[in-house]
Amino acid sequence: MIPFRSAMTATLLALAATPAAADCASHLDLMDEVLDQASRESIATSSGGQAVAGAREARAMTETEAPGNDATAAEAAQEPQPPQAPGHAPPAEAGDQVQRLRASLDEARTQAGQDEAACRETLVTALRELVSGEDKPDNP
Amino acid sequence: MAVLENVSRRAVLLGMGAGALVLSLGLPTAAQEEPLKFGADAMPHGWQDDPRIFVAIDPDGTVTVTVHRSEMGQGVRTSIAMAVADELEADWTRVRVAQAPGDEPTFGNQDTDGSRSLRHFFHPMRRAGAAARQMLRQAAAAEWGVPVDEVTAENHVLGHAASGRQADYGEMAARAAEREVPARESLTLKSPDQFRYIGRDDIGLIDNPAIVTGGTIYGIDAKADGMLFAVIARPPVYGGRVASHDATAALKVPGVERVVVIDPPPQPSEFQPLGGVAVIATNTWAAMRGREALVIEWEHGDHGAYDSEAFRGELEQSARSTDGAVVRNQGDALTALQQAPRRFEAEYYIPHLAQAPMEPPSALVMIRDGKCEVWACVQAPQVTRVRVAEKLGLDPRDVTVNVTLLGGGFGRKSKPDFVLEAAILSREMDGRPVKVTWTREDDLHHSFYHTVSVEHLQAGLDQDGRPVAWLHRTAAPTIGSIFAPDPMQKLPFELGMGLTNMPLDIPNVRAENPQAQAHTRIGWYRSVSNIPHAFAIQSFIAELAHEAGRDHRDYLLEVIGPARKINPVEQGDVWNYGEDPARYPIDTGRLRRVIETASEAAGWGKEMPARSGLGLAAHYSFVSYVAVAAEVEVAEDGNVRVPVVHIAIDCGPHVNPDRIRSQMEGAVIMGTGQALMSQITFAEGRAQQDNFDSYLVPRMDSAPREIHVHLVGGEDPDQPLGGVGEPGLPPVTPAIVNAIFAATGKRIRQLPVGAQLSS
Repeated sequence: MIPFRSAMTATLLALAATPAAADCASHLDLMDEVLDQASRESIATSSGGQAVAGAREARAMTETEAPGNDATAAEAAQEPQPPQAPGHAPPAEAGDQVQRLRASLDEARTQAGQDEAACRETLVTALRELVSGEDKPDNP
Repeated sequence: MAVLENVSRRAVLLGMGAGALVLSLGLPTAAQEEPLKFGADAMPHGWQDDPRIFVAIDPDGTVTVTVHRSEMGQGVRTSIAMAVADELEADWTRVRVAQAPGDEPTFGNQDTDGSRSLRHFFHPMRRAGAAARQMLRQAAAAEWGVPVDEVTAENHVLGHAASGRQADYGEMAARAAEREVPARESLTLKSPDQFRYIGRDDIGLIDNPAIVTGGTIYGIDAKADGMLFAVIARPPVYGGRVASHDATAALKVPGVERVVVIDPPPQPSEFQPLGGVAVIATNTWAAMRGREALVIEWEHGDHGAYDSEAFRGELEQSARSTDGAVVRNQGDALTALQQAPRRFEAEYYIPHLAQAPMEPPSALVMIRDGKCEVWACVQAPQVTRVRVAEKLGLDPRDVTVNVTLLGGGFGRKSKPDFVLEAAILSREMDGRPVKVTWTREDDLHHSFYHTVSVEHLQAGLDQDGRPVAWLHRTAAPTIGSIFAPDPMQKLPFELGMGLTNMPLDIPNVRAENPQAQAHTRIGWYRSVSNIPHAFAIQSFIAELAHEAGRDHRDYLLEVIGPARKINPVEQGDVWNYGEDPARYPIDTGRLRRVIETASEAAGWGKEMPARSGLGLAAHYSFVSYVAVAAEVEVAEDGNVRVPVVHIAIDCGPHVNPDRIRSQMEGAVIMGTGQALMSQITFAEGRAQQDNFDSYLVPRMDSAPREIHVHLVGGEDPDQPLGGVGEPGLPPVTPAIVNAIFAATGKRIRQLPVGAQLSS
């Protein structure tokens, strides 16, 4: 599994290599593929249970070591997991970031074809925020 | 002392007996590698399907199925046993169940939440039964010297037609126990036409005889020799602490042995106890009287001014602001709203709720020789085990969590704070058994409350009244606040409960999540965020239909659009109930079908008497589809009765139809309470409701008189299972509120209805 930010960085590099003449929609198509995969990864690392999803997602959103069923040192001391039991999933991909980037790119998609400059600006802004972490919620 | 049936003790007993097919816990073969894991695979400790873990056959032929999910009235002990027994070809009258202790490395994930027990474990349990059947056949074949293919296993009897030999399962159990577990890939599961129990409507709860004769043990029933009893005075405000206390009078109460101060938890508090002053006595009554005699001065902390009415104003301001995080954005909703010929908006308020299980939390803990034993009504026994171990400085393997039956859970008992309280107090009493009892007042004052929410919706309508733009802002404190330092936004899984995955066929959709701060302990409550989202969306659609002068049902179906399968990921959902979106897309055809089923059964369009109305709502949640058509009668004094409710569910194949019906009936009653009477309010940081005289839930006279459950779909046995425990609830409340509008013309946007119709 490639971390979301790493995947997006790779995508940015790919975009940079794209001919300047490529339209904004082409960039978005490429981004969509990354986002679809990132969304699936977010689903996979969240889980379908409220307890685990809550702990994993809160930890990912705030980048803290929130406690949870899958985050205990004591438990880690137990016997190794059988191969088919997935055991402890890695910390959740930041689903909130994926979600917000999707929303931004959907906005850019609406602009594509009508206002190419606006589409590019929305795209660049969204990516900049993602990479810099500016879209993180304010925590007092 | 009552004997609690538990597999950890059973194993000892069976180990002394001969021939039981309780095998040492082994590890199944490796599974295939997958790049991403979903569903049960993605849960901590995943799943197991080894028959040696779940199936035991005594020499007398009694089959014991070990159930690792918590039973809280949903019938999981029956449904899991049905799946195992069916594939095992066991005689149901000779099947019993034992409850697994908290031990996920052995049993697989045990968090009984998310409406997942059958969704995640139906197939592993079938495989466990099928493997055990195969082991029995192999044993018989070896014993009789015949090919295994010629050995039949049918209704607890092994047979060989050519030789006429037969053996009861019990006779062959010991030999079967010596066989290797067949490879998973080698198993042949039954086809649906071969099912003996699965899908049958007349099995009944396996625990029913014991329940109705008082033979079952709930958390509150647990006893141990030399047990002490404790109640705790907890800080009345979340985040508060004891400033000072005087236990002199409490210690004079006959029977009181000790008063112990419990420190408040660090924040975020997760599942840690709230702190306070515990009174430990020789009986519960003495402990309660001792608590009354305590003199405590509290420091209330940051939330001492929490007032839910004032907070509603804050949430409304937040929900009207335009700076919330955009979490879904198809098309250009803002422009489309401005350009639409007609624009409509509404705001909905959903108060805090308490799970209020009929059995309040209760736990018994004892510590002896470096080991701890717990008896408790918990939904998450492994989490309990780990947290108790951490609290006591033990290895989790030295903590045994025996899971009793739960007298209701609804998410409250996923959080083991009450068990940790008992662990702390047992330690204080040098390991003596201590049972902590929560009173109803304790439960209502110190719950993990369902969040409070303001839902702000706007729609732009075209010339025909059809929505072309949709804006939904949800402002509510998040469950994440118990896990992380004060997150101000809902978590993706909360947004994925009906907001980011909302399947309406509208070209321009925008969802925003403005900030909201938590001022009390927020937790999950049956159906979680689907409750406010479904209430708002389904009420709003009904309002739009009225605005457009259209029949509500026709309008709802039109807004849902034609049957199609939606990839939730493409809409911005990053949760999908933890399931693979390719395997679990949103199927609007199934949503349409439950709407059509419920509305037709209810006689949609029929003429209703004065002050009576028929309301409709539908919602997709926990990968199941549910629609509700509710009739109401509104008296002149504003009192609302619900004479008839039709509820239709499509949850995929129907494993245990009786339990699906039961869950839908329970959801209808609970949803009626949410609509008409239930709420928790706060003033000066304290929950204002004390007991069922103020936290109202439906009684016999206010519960729906008739509930008709319609099971839809399930024809395709290969269709993945949906949830059952939670998805019935979300559409009930909006259906009732929509019916009230049909009866009176008054639109309810604030829950509960309460006295809003009396003026």
